[in-house]
Amino acid sequence: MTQSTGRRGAGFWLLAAFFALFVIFLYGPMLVIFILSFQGPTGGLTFPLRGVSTHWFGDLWSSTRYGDLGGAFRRSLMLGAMSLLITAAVCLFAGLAFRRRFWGAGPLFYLAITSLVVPGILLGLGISQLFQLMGFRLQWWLSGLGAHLSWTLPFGLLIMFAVLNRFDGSWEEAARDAGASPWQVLRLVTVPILFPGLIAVALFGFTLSYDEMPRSLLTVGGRNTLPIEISNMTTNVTTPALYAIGTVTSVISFTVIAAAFVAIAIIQKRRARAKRGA
Amino acid sequence: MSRSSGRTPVLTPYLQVAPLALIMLAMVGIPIVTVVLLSFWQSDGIAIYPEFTWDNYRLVLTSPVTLTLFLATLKYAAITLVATVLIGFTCSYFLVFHVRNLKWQIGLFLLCTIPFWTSNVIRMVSWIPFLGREGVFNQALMAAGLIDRPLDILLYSDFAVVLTYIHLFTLFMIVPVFNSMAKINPSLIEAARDAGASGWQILWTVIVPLSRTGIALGSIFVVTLVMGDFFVVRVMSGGQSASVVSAMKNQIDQLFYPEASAMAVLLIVVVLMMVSAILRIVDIRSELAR
Amino acid sequence: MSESRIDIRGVSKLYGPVRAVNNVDLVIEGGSYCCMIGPSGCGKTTLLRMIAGHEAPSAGTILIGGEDVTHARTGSRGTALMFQNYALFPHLSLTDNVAFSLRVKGVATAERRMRAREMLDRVQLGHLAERLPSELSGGQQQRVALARALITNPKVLLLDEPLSALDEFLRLRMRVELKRLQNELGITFIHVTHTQPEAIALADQVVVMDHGLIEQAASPREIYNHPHSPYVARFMGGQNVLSGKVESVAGTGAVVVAPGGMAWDLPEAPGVQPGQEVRFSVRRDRIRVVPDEPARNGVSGRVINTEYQGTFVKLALETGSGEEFIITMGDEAWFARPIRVGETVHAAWEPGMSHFLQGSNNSVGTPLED
Repeated sequence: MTQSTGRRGAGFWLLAAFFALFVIFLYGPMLVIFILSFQGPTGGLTFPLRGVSTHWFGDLWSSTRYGDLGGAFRRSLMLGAMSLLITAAVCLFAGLAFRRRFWGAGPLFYLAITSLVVPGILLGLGISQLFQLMGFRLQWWLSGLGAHLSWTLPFGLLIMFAVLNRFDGSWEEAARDAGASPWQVLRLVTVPILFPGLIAVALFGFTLSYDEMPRSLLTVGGRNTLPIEISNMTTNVTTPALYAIGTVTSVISFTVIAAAFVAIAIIQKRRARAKRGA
Repeated sequence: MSRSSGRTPVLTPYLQVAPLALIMLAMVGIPIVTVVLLSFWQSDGIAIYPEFTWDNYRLVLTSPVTLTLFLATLKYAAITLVATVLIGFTCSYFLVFHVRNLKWQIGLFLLCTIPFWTSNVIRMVSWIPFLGREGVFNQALMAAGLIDRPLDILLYSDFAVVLTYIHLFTLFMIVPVFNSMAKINPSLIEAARDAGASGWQILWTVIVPLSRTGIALGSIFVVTLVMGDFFVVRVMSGGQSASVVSAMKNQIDQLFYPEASAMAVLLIVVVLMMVSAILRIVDIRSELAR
Repeated sequence: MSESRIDIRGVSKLYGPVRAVNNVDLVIEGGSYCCMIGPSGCGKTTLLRMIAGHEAPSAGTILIGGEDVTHARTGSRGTALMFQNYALFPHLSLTDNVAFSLRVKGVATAERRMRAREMLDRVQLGHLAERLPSELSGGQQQRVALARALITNPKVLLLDEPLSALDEFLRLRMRVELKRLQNELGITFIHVTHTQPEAIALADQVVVMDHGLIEQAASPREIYNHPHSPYVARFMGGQNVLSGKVESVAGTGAVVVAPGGMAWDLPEAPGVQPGQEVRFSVRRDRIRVVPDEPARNGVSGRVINTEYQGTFVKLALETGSGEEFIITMGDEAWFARPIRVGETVHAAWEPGMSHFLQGSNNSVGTPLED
C-alpha cells in the first residue's frame, strides 16, 4: 500500500498484538461457553470439565424446567423468516424510492433513525399500550412482528443505501431503452444486479429478529420468543443447560451467516469469473 | 437534477416507500406518541385513566433517585464510550493502514463484525464462567500466584457491566470508523509524510480529523445502546446497580405505566440532546450521502 | 419523408427554474450523421435524452419519421441510446446483454441468442460471447454497447459521448468505425460530444449549443468558415475574433475601425449601421506575417508564446484587445526565420477573409482544442 518499506516495523506488531487481543476478547468467552456446554452430567457452571457429554443438550430437550423452549424456538424462527422476507422486500423498494426526492423523505428517514436510537423496551411499551388502547390482543405474529420490523427495517434501509451507492441508474435506463416494461426492468435488471446486497439485507432481517429481546418483551403477548426464554434462564437456571441453549442458538446464527456469505460469494464468483484463457 | 428519474411517474416513489412509511408510523411513530400521551395520564396502579396530569413528571423529577439513575447511566455511557473509541480506532487504524492485503483486510474486518449477528444475551452470558468466583480469570490469576483469594469484584459488579458493554458494543464503533478511514486517500498520508510530518502528527492532523464522522456515528450508536439497556445492568451487576431503563423496567413490571412513560420521555429528551450535540460537531448526513 | 428524419419543434426542458433546453427548433435529415456539441451543461445531453424518451419535454413536440413521439414510451419510438458509460448489464454475458431487447419482446431463447451472436460477430466480438462485461477492455465494452443498441434495428441511433471514455488511440479508431457503420446502415446517428475535432470529422450536420439554445446548426464546413456568433467561432476554434466600430457602409460591406485605428474591410456585413460595435472572425491559418505594419486588414502585437505543433507553428500575440491573437504558420516559414517571444510581429490578411459575426453570443465557451 502506501508504505514503501517491505519490512514491518514495531508499530505493526504492537497493533497486530492489540488486534489479536481484541479478537480473543470478542470470541474467547463464547468459546468457553461452547466448551462448557459439553460439561459432564455432574459438572457445574465453570471449569473444570467433569467429563464430556451432550447431557445438557438432552436436558434442554427432555426437562420441563425450562418452559416452552421448543415453542419459543419455533416462534423465533418464524419471526426471523417473516422479518427476512418483509425486510428484504420493503427495504428494496424504499431504497429505490429514496434515490429520488419525494415529499416526506426527510421525516421518514429520521423516523427510521429514531427507531434505532430509542431504547427498545420503550418502543415495546408504546406498541403494547397502543394495541391495548385500540383493543387488539398482543400476538407474537402481529405486535411482536411489528416490534421486530421496527428494528430490522431501519438497519435494512441503511444497508440498502450502501448497496444502492454502487448501483448505476443508467442500467435501468438502458433496459427501458431496450423496451423493457417497469416490471421487466425490476425482474431482469434491478433485482439480479442488487441480489448480493439483498442477501445482506435479508441476513440482517433474520438475525436481528432472531436475537431480538428488549422490543419483544412487552409485545409478544403470552407466548415468548427464544431470546426471552434464554434471558429468563439467565436468572433461573444454574446448570450448564444455559450454555447448551447458548451453543445451539449461536450455531444457528453462525450457520445463517455462513449461508449468506457463501451465497454472496457464489454470486460474486459467477459474475467475476477469472479471465481464464483470455 | 436527478437524471435517472426522467420519465418515471411522479407517484412511483410514494408507492415504493409506502410499506416502509406505514410500518414505521404504526410501529415507531404512533407508539412513541402513545408513550408521551401515557406519561400525562393518571393511574392508580391497577388501571389507567386518560385524564391529564403532571403528577408523573412531578414524581419523577422530584425524586432524588432519578438524578442518581441518570448519573449512573451517564457514567456507564461515558466509560464505555471512551473504551470503545480507543479500541475501535486502534483496530480500524491497524486494519486500514497496516494490513496491506485487501483480502486480509476484509477478512479481519468481517471477523470483527460477525458477533453482531449473534445473540447479545448469549454473548453476555458467556462472561459468567469467565468472571465468576471460580471463573477462568480467577483460576488463572490464582494459578499464576498473583492472588491467593478469588476476586469478588469481577462478576456482579459495575466492572462486569462495563466490560460486557464494551464487549457487546465495540463493533458499533469499529464499523463506522473503519468506513471513514477506508475512504481516506492514501496519497494524503504520503503528502503529509513528504511535508515532513511524523507518524504522530499524521495521526493527529490527517487521520483523526478525517475519521471523525465515523467516530461520531459510532458514538451515537454506543451511547444510545448503553442508555437503552436494562438487561446487562440487571444481570451483570447482580441486581446491585440500576440504570434509567432498568428502573423503568421495574416500574413496568409493577404496571406503573404512566410513571415509566414519564421516565422514558425524560430519557428520550436526554438522549436526543446528546445525539444532536454529536450531530452539531460533525455533519453525518454528508457522510452518509457520500 | 424519410422514416428516420427528426423534427424538433419548440422543445423546452425545465428543471425547476433552470431552462436546460430553451425552445429549440431543429431538423435532422434522415440518414444523416448529426453531432451536437457544446460545453457541459449546454443542454445537448438533455436534448438527446428527450429524443430517446428518457426525459419528457416541458413544452414542444418531437417527430421521428413524421410521427409525433413526444410522449411515446422509451424503447417504442425507433431510437436506441448508447450510454456514455455504456451501462452494460454486469450480471449478463455479452450474448445476453445484446439479446436483452429481444428478450423483453418475448423472442424465443434460441433465436435471440443466435441473432445476438450474429451482431457480436459483426462488431468482431463473437469469440467473447459468453464473457461478462467486466472482463472486457473499454473499447470492447463500447462495441458491445453498440451491438446492443443496433440489435433493435433502430431508425435513429443516439450516442451520448460515446468516445469520451476511451484513450486517444482507440478514440480515433472508433471514430472511423462509427462513420463506416453509419454509412453502412444508412440510419440517422445523433452523437453528443464536447470535442470539436470529433464533430468536424464525423458530422454531416453540426449543432452547436450554449445555455439551452442552438447557436448554429450547419455543415462542419459552414460552421468552420462562417461561424454565426463569436461564441461559435471561439468554441469551434481555429479562429480569431476581433471587434471594432463601423466607420462606413458601402453596399453589403462595411469598414470597421479598431480602437487603435487599424481599419478592417468586411465584405459581407448586411444591416450594420455606422457607429455600431461589431465583431468578426479571421481564420488563424489565413493570416500572413508581414515585415512592415500593414495599412489595412492587419494587426500588430508582441509575441507572448510560440508552440511547435509538427506541421505548423502557433504564435500567440498580445494586441491590447484583451484576447490573444493567434497565427498558425507553416513550420518551414517559421524555421526559415524563427520568431522569439517578446518580438513585435505584424500580421495581415486578405479583405475577403474577414467574416462578419451576426450572432450576439459573445461568451468565451470552453474551447478544449489547443
